[in-house]
Amino acid sequence: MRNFIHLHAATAFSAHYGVSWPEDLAQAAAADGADALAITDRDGLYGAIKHVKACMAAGIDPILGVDLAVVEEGERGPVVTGRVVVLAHGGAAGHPGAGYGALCRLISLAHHQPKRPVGLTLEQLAQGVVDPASGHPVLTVLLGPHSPVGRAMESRKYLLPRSKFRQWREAMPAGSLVAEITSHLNTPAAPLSTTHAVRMVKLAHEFDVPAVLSNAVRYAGPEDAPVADVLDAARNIAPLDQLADLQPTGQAWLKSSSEMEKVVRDIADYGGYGTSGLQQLWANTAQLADKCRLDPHKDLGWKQPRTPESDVLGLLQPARQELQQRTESALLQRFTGLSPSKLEKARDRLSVELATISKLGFESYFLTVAEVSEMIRTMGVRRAARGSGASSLVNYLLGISAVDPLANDLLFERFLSNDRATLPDIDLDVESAQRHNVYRAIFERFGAKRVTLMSMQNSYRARGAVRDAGLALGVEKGEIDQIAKQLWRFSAGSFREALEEKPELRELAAHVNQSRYATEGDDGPAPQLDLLVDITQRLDSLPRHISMHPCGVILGDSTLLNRTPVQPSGMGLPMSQFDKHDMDAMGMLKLDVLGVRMQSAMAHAVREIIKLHPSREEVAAHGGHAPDAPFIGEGGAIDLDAVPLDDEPTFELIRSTHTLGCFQIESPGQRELVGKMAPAEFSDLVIDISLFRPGPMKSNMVKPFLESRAGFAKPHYAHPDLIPALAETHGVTVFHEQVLRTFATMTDCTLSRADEFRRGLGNPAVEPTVEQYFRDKATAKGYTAAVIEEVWGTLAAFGSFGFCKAHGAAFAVPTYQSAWLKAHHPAEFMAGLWEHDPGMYPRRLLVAEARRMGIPILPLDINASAGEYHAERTDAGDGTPGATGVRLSLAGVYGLSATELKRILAGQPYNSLAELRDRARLSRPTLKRLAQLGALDSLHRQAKSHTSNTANRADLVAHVNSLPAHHGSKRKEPLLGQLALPMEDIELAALAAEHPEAGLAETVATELDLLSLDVSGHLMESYAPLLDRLGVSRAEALLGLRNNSEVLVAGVRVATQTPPMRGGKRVVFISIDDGTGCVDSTFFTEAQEKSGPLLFGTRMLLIRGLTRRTGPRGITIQALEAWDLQNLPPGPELPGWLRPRQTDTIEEAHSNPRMLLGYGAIHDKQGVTSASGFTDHH
Amino acid sequence: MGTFTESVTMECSPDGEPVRMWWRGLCHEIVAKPQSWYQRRPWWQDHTSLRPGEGVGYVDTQIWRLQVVRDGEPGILTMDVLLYRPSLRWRVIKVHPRVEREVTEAEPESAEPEFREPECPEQFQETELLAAGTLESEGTAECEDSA
Repeated sequence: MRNFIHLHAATAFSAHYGVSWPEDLAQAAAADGADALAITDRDGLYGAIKHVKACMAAGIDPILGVDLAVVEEGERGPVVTGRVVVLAHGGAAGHPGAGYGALCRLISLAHHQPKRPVGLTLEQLAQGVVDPASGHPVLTVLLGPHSPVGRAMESRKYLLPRSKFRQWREAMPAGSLVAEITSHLNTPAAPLSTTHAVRMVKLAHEFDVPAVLSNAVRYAGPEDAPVADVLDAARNIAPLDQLADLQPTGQAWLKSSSEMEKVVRDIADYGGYGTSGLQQLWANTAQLADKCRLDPHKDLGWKQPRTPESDVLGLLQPARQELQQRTESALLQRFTGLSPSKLEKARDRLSVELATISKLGFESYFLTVAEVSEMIRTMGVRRAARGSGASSLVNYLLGISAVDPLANDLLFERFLSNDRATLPDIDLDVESAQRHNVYRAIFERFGAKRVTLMSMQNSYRARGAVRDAGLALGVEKGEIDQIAKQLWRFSAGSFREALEEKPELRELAAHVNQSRYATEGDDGPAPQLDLLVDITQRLDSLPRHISMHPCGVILGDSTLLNRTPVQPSGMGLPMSQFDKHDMDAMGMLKLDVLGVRMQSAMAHAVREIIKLHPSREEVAAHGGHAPDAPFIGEGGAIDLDAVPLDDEPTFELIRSTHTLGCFQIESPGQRELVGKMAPAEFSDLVIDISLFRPGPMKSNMVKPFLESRAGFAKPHYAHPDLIPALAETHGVTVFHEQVLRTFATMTDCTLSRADEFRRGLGNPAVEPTVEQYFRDKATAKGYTAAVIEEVWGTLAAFGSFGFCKAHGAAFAVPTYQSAWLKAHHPAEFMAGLWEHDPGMYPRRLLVAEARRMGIPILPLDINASAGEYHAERTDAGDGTPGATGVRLSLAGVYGLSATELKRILAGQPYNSLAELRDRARLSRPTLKRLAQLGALDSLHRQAKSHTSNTANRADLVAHVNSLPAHHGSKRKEPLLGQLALPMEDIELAALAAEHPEAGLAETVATELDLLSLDVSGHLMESYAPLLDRLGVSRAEALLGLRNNSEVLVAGVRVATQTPPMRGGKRVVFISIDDGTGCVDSTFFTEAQEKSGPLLFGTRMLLIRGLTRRTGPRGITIQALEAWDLQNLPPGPELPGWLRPRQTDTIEEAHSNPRMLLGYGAIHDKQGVTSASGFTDHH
Repeated sequence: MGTFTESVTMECSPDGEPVRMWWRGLCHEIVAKPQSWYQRRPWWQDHTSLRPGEGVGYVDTQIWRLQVVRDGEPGILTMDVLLYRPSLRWRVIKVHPRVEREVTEAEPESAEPEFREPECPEQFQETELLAAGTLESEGTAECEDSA
């Protein structure tokens, strides 16, 4: 008898259902001697490609299917009445790809059912299993214990299962239906019991339908059965204690052949069958498995790239000729001024690139990307190429990338080479606010059958895992919230480790320990904290759901939807069920179109500049540019991409470290680095961005680089041959390109080979071979052992960490552009930043930055404010024009609905409160909030101007609050043709002055509550007396202090970072803002211990520490200890000189309770970013 | 009829099927093919950890229904025995009264099974109820033999 093949198995990619990874399942199957394995995830092919890869690795045949919901019309509309398994037939049984294609379409159809749960009706299934080309069924449906037939056995209606079975038998095309026999050895006569299995066998026999055996697998081994329970609880959002339909037993694992034999013998025993019946079941299973074996290449088109057809691209000649023609003519255009020898070099480079592209057959890929890029340009949307695509001259010539790879010395081999046949990545950054429009345009341009969005898997991390584990165990919600809040950026899998190591978890760790030793004698059940920790770990990284990937768009030919199932994404456009790891295997062209807020912010700034200065001359005068600056258009439009890269004021601004708001260089660590490095030209920015990454930081490359650059140390080269490769970074290896050159120089290998070597670094399976090759070849070339040793040491340490110079160059462009805008057009730039909120900090910090820069922050005004932040001219008070300010946006007001905003804008301007009420029809709370924020002050002022009325904003608020609630009645509206008289606002003019005016502190607190911004003053201002009494130093004063001075600093937390550090010890960086600037503080282990839970939870901090000078313009604080500024503890922890004043400090802090509350909104970003401040895009 | 949580020593076939049982010093020979099934247990109430690799036997417990002949006694007894995993310890949880056994076990599954099913839950219900309280305490042996 052949070994058993499982035909029904869910992977972890059946979210909240399956427990095991495809790799583990495939390996377990292979280890048991099976030569094939099916994966049937719930309602999709989410784990399918990973399964195929895993099967290929394990040397077994993949089978693909789906566990699909069946929908029937119920009394109250369509309902899911069960699930069936649908398996795709392999090409060996018909046309290659027909079964898999039908499966993809069937699943897409199941998800494309408006106003109906995901799933298909019997009729849809019956139609969907047939291949339209041949008219034969290419899918097999398995009617199992979860199907409507199996479910019917649970009721006491004895005839129901039979009539249901007959219904399916009659509806499904011949040969497309089998009965799935499953016993999870449940108590006899219960669902998934052997007696039910026997009954299914009998029905199958009665209707002459083949029966196959399965185990409806949810986990690889029996030890994971409890995890499946927890997932059931998470899926049903209910504690285990309250769940009625938990798996009946823990038998749903990938049982071995011998275990399945026991199951089948059990069935034979109960059913009274002999060995022959048993063998039939087994043989049927093997037969169906054979029918469904897939050949990845023939059935799935494994690794065969598909790009849009040439007629879709509008090509009149073959793609190869088209690409050659376009790039050659662009070469002449772009490099007109180049010397003949340089032009010759460019030509050589182009022909090398074209030869590689043509050899790989990627011409239409490049033309497709060029088409998309050009389409975005003509939409008037800002775009920039990023990533290694910038290394290609072809990309530059096609207009995809703005970086000249020759001028920046970028290597094509890093991007694409003959040695690597995977589709290259070309990433496009577009304005974030335009991203969805760009997606829609791509769908329109290429047609919905050739385009779909890519999806991504969202997996359990510590917080989500502990919440769901707590839910399952029935732990009280408040308690779980308390625990979840303390978990900080580590994977759920290292929860226990974290408990032992992290000071902020000390208290929780103690509770866990106590719960372990809690005995039965305690009052009530001890909270199962220890079990909670274990379950959390077991949930680690299991997929939770898919969502639209932030940037991936898949482009293919007209067969795309036969190759991937799609389902609706959050924005409505269809998305593939495959994620980025599946793209290469499926030969799918993925274009990254990433929405970048900074691009939107810069576009906004440019529009604001035009609005205030609608001519070239005015813009030049305003921004301090040459009157004939070529990058300014006639009407005042600045072409940021044409701005020269050597603008001195821009570099001055960068060196000042006042780079808040600038792309890539605003994080505390970057501000420190630019302060030390003092960039003077564009290439410095490229190096700066590449240095500020985990790799270089970890392998201590920054210090030698800075020392050599500053001239403190002589650059060190292991061998003079390496000088050409390493000179630009003073002997320090920073870029991937330098690694490639080092390999090439010392071993004479090609650059594309060198890139393969580079990819092998850090991979324990490959690195030894690379090392051997390097040592042998370098020795043969005559390098000494010492040189080889040193260079290999550098290469090995570099691992796969470093940065591709092309990435750095592509990033440096918007960095430079944003700094340029900040230097020349600061108010307009700030308006763009506030509008699109691109950076890592809460918006209020950028408001504080504007205040620091002397840019007027113009309060909300019902007439002057719009739905966006706008730059606005101010007057200096004496009739002359003052600085350009930024007017706050009505869109930021808490609780103001989009329709209210629309009505306000439509009704502007208003002459009186009555007009505002009539035209904008605002709810009373909204009107009150506008009054509180001073948006109605101008109306009020205007009304008072002719009277001696002294009523203030508080009176106005009280009045607004006393108005009757607005009624949407039309009766009060003026009759058509009746003109409103331009009357004075008697209502406001006559307000009684009876309320005391609010103080600054209260006003600021209101602004924080309702706007999440402190507008009238910095929120720390009201702490000034307290800070002065404590002797707290201000950020602006720190630079004047000696190194190593002990100081107290205080402020609002704006950023918290825990970058990976050399030596593995955690360092926590906390930045606080005190109104005069940012203070960046570093907490090492001891300070972390002392500060404990304060480290991550507290918003207002008082920190004691030592000053650390980091460069001519930089100073940071090495923290010794921190306190919650709003809750300074009594007792001995505070230094002695704080204690005597302690009572009044607390009273002071509590004297204004509003200052203590309502900061939730300021921290919408939690002040948290990744270690490097930007995401990795290798 | 009685309930027990007494541990027993079981001798099994290479397949893991019980062959012979020693209980209270007496040999019980298994005389018919035993039946077995699994039953859920609320593992989250009685386990305090789920370390990597742990979890076998958490969700369900195996129940064996055995037909035995006790040393020196005439007639066949029906007994329900639990197998705990991963410890692989056996415990007797129920001895069925002789009369009931003869009624229910006389003609196993010979008739159309559909019409026999409703009887089954009732037959096992009592076992479930009694077992619920005793399944968990593997350690101490209590006996309320009332046979």
